[in-house]
Amino acid sequence: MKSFKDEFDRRGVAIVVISFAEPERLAPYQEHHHWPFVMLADPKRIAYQAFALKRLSWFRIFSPSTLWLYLRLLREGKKFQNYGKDDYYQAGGDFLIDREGNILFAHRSQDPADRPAIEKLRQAIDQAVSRTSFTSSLNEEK
Amino acid sequence: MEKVAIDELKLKDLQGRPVGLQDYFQEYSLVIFLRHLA
Repeated sequence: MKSFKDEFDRRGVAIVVISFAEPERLAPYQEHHHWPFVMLADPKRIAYQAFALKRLSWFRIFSPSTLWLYLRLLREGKKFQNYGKDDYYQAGGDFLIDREGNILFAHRSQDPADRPAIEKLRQAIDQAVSRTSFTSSLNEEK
Repeated sequence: MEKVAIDELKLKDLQGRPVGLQDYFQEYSLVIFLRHLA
């Protein structure tokens, strides 16, 4: 995702990463990873609930695709970092929203390895931008 | 279309200060919810 940040910026899409971890746990995580995105904390999970992100079942967490993901990450030399108390049952997700809060694209992860393809995100942005351009041109004609 | 009241989402920045999602908006926002820190 880091490599797509510039492209998203050019297209007017801010990337915001939200975690349910407390800010004091999130800060060292960001220091370690240097993600070029805004990172925000939602320890009360108000946003998680607002976006209808549920808790995963044990079966989903230990699905073959999840185990394969972690095996691949270990092979790539990724090391487990301990940032304190964690919750492996909380589902994540990816959402494209506009200023009014309309959800233009939603991907609620079904297991930890379930993330949307970058191409799907690009398509969603294309559709959103073209819709905005169309609405703007209609307003100009009035 | 699903809609979320983004101005009601009380979040915190890394310093623990209260912030809103709308503070970081461009035209759109791609909001990524993490599952856990790893």
